[in-house]
Parts: sequence; C-alpha cells; structure tokens
Amino acid sequence: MILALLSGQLAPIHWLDTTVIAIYFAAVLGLGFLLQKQANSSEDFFLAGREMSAYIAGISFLAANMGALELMGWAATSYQYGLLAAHWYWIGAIPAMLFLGLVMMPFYYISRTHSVPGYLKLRFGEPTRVLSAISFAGMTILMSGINMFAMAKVMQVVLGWNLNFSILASSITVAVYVTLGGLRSAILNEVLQFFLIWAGALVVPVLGLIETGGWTGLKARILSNVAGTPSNAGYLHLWSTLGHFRSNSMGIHWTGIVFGLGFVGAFGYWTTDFLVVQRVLAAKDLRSAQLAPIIGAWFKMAVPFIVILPGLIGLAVLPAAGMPLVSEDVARAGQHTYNEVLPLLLIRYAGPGLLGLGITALVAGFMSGMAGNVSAFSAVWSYDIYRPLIRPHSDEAHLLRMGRWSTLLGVIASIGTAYFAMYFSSIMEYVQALFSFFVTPLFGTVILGMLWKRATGPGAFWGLLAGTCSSIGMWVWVRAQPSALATLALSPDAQPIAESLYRMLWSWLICVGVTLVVSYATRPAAYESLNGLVYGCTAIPAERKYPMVQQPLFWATAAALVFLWLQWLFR
Amino acid sequence: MAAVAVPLGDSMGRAFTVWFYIGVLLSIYGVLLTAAGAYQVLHPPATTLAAYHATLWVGGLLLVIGLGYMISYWPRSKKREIQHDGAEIDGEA
Repeated sequence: MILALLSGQLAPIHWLDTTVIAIYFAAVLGLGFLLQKQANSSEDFFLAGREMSAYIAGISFLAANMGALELMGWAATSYQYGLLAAHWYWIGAIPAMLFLGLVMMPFYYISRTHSVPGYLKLRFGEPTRVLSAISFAGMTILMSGINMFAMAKVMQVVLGWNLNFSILASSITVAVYVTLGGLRSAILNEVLQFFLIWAGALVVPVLGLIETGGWTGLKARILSNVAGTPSNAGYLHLWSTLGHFRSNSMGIHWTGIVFGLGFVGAFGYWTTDFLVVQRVLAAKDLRSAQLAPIIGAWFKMAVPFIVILPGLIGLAVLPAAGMPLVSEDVARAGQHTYNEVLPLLLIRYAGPGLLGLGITALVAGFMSGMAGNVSAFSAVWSYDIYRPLIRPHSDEAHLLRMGRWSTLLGVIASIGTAYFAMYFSSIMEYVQALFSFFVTPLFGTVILGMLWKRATGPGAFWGLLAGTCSSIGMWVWVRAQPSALATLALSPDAQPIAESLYRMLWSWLICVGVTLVVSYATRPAAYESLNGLVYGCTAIPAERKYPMVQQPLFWATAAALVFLWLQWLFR
Repeated sequence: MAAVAVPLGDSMGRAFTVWFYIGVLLSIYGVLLTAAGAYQVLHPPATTLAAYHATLWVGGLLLVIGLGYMISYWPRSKKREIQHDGAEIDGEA
C-alpha cells in the first residue's frame, strides 16, 4: 500500500529506499516507546527531568531549529542569492548563541523557570507573561504548519508522494513519540535525527565539489551562470558587496545584516524563542546549560556545508543540465522551483539506498523541527496559558495529562495551518514576517528584564505590545503601499529581505523605547524581588573549579575566533 | 559519574544510552548500504558520478561510526570516561 502511495514521479523509488525510510520511522517510534515510562511528572514531560548532558542539550538545541524550511529553504536561498545566505548561519546565529550561553543562561537557569514566558512572569508579572505566551503559542503553530506544508510539497513535486499522505504520516509519528515521552523523547529523537541529517545530506556537497572541480571550479561555473545578472559579484562574497543596496544580489546593506539580522533578529530567535531555549533548560546543571548553546554554535558553523554549499552547487550544475530553477510565482508546469534544489541534487547523485537515506535526512529535519514546535507549544500552553487563565489550581497529574493532550492539539492545529499555508505564494516571506512580529520585540523585553533593574512590569507589557503592534503595522503598511519599503529600509534600492531585517530592528527599538519611558514613569520593583532574575541582583553560584578546557568561556572564545576567521575567509 | 549521557533504563538497571541506540541504527544502515553499494559496483545506477561508488563509501562510513558508538556505549561498558572537545559528558549512570 505504501509503495503505491510512493509511486515515483521524478525519482524512481527503489524498494531499498522505502526500506531505509521505514527503518527510520520504526527507530523514532521505538525510542518514543522506550521512553514512555520515564515521563511520570510534569517536570519529566516538559523539561525532560532536567538531566540532559551538555552534548545532548546542545545538539537538540540546534536540531530543533533544523526544520524542513531550514534545510530546503536556505539551500533555495543560496541558489537564489549565493553565499550571502550563509549570513543566516554565521552572523545570524553564532554571536547570539555564545551570548545566550555566557550571559543569559544563568538567569534562565537560576530562576528555575519552565519557560520564557515563565521567566517574564517572575520578572514582570502576569500580564507580560500571558501576552508573550499567547503570541508564542500562535506563532509556533503557524510555523510548524508552514514547515509541514513546505516539506509535503517538495515530497509531492519531486518524489511524487501524495501530499496528504506525507503530512499525515510524518505528523502522526511526531505526535506519537512526543505524546509518549514528552520533551525527553523529543530531545533524544532530535539527537538521532541530527546524525541522520548529516549522514543523508553529506553526499551532495562531497560529490558536488568533485563534479565542479573543487571550490575554485565551483566559483568559475557560478560566475559564468550568473554573468548576465546585475550585481553578480555578491554571489561569492559575504561582506565585500554590502556597501550599497544596489551592489549585491539581495538588495541589502551591511547595517541591515549586522544590526537587523546579527543583533536583533538572531538574538531574538536564539535567546528568547522558547522552541530552542526549552532544550537548554533541560540541561542537568548550570555548566551544561551554558555549554549547550556553545556546542550548538560549533555545529551551527558547519551546517552551511550541507545547506548553503548544495545551493551553490545547484547554481553551478543545474542550469547546465537543462534545469534552471525559478521562483514559486513564475513556475510553469514542468519547471522546478528554488525550494527543490536539495532534493534535485540528491536525485542527481544518490543511487538506490543512498537516495532513501537522503530523503530520510529531509524527513528527519522536518520531524525534529516539528517536534520542537509541538513540545514547546505544549509546555507554554500548559504552564503559561492553561494554568494561569483557565484552571489555576490544577495538580501535577492533571498538568501531565494536559501536556499530553496539548501535544496532540498542537499537531492537529499545525495540520490545519499547513493547509492554510497553501494559500500563500511566498513561504519564506511569511516566516520572516512572523519572526518580526513576535520574536524581536520579545527580545527587547527579555534583555531589558535581565540586564536593567529599573525595568518595571507595566514598562515591559506596554513595550512588548507596542513592539508587536508596530511590527505588524509596518508589515501592513508595505503591503498596502509598496513604496513604503524605501522609507523603512532607508533606500529605494532595498529588496524584500532588507525590509524584514529593518522591520525587526525598528520594532525592537520601539519595544525598548516604550519600555524605557513607561518604566521611568512607574514605580520600580523592590530590590529583593529581583534576586535571581536580574544582572547585578543575582549571585551566580560558584561551581566546582573546572580546568580551562572544560569551561564555557574557553569554548565560546574559540568559537568566536573560528567565526571571525570564516568571515575573513569568505569576505 | 559516568560518561553515559542519558539512561533509558531497563529492568536490569544497566545504562542503555541514546548513543548506543544511534550506534545500532547507523550500523543497520551501514550493513544495508554497504551491501547495496557492493551490488552497485557491478550494476552502476544511472546517477551522476556513479563511478565513485558513493553508496559503498557512505555504507562503510556508517558501519564504522555505528560500530564505534555501539562498542563505546555498550550497556555495562567499562569505557565510560569518553572525552569530547575536552568537555566531559557526565550524566547520571
């Protein structure tokens, strides 16, 4: 029956490929069943018993972010815009991850919070918590639906899988293992999936570099393929073309990359999006919690090898093979879109068996992203919406049951938003929009809460609300009047990607500005109530003395140096 | 403190870890792909660069890594003080 549903379209699906995929599904479900008996309390279910080692928390921190969009979408972006897409992996992640480990993690960890909205409750009170919990829950469900749809669509177009079958089979599997084992099952499966993503995806960059004659040959082919386009130099450089909006393929300026992406966007996502922070909160002690994002940063720096490089390889080899890719809105029947670059390359290089492993990598990426979304949703729903608003005195057993039910609810709601996402033509644009609405203002609120004693509850609430509303407002403004883009992004040459980066920056500044003004106008919180929550009011517990090579600071410094070296290398 | 990361726990109280589970899965894939790769040496698939026998290489690599993890994290294994990047992973045993 499954074979009939998998009737190949582009790729002849061999029985060996089906076997490899089936073994994967059995393995993740098996792990869920093995872990079922360990989810006995809400702490077990939502925080994996707080017993994860730094490695497991770190890998899962990264894997939860590697959804289908992350793998296929950024390979597509690098096909479209070239090496500039790597900014989203390097400056758009590494500084923020290191900052989370070194500066912010102690406050999250010492406050013993269950969630990011939970931290805001301790610091600013109930209204801020509820506001951030509701916007997080909504965003998470929309994101996971969009991921699901992106995945299913590629499977349909490239492999001829039935769209409904892909959506149902993958999401039911995620629902089963997360409902059974909670966050522990989600995290350990993410570690498993992380290995498979690498095993399955590695064939593309390696064979691609062999085919194009290494990095030098690859660059030469790309330059001849993009020769006709204006600003083609941007395809192979990270920084040297960012001096002006007009001189690079993305229509972007270095201030947008450094402040919009590197500071506000990245810090917002990696330090306040509970989807990733939840994994680090599950670490067994403060040192592991601090090391986890730093370990994640090391792996993150390597991810462009299996995501950005394949996009560049696609740009070098696919047009010559009679398969130039186009964007979603202009694709005619028989033409392939940017989003299909990674699956198309897998089909090009991988024979029976290996292709199955490659598809497994994409499915694994999708599932780890989906599990990340639903486990974070279920924790925020149960702790920060259900308990304070709907049933204040629910006991432990009730909360655990609610955790299981809300996981299922999250999956069902995501399936709904997946079908809703079908109506949008540009998926990446909506993802960027959602981030700028909900994540970047939240970063303003959390960072002021952690570092500034004078920030007050009303200041945080009105700042967060103003940031979110202004971000939505700016988005609507540009939709209603496209010329507004030139005002927002400071240049008539700016392109849509620049718009989202500057929108993030402005909404963050508005959030911070309103928080400052309202905080000074309201009465400050008592010093004692800030203990364990704010820098300057918290004694970071002294841990036993570790040798230098086991300290977070050592590995963070080394990661920062490698990061800078990469920027220089590909400047 | 053992290097065992997270015990999945069983009735014998042995430390059965996710790393061991990953080792088993990678080994199964390794055997499958090595066999498929050996077959494809004689009957090359219609892919680009089939002469490089990518399936055989990946199969062999997965088998080596999978077996490595299985042996290192074999339940009741003595080799507990595994060092990664100098940072010890010391979970509960």
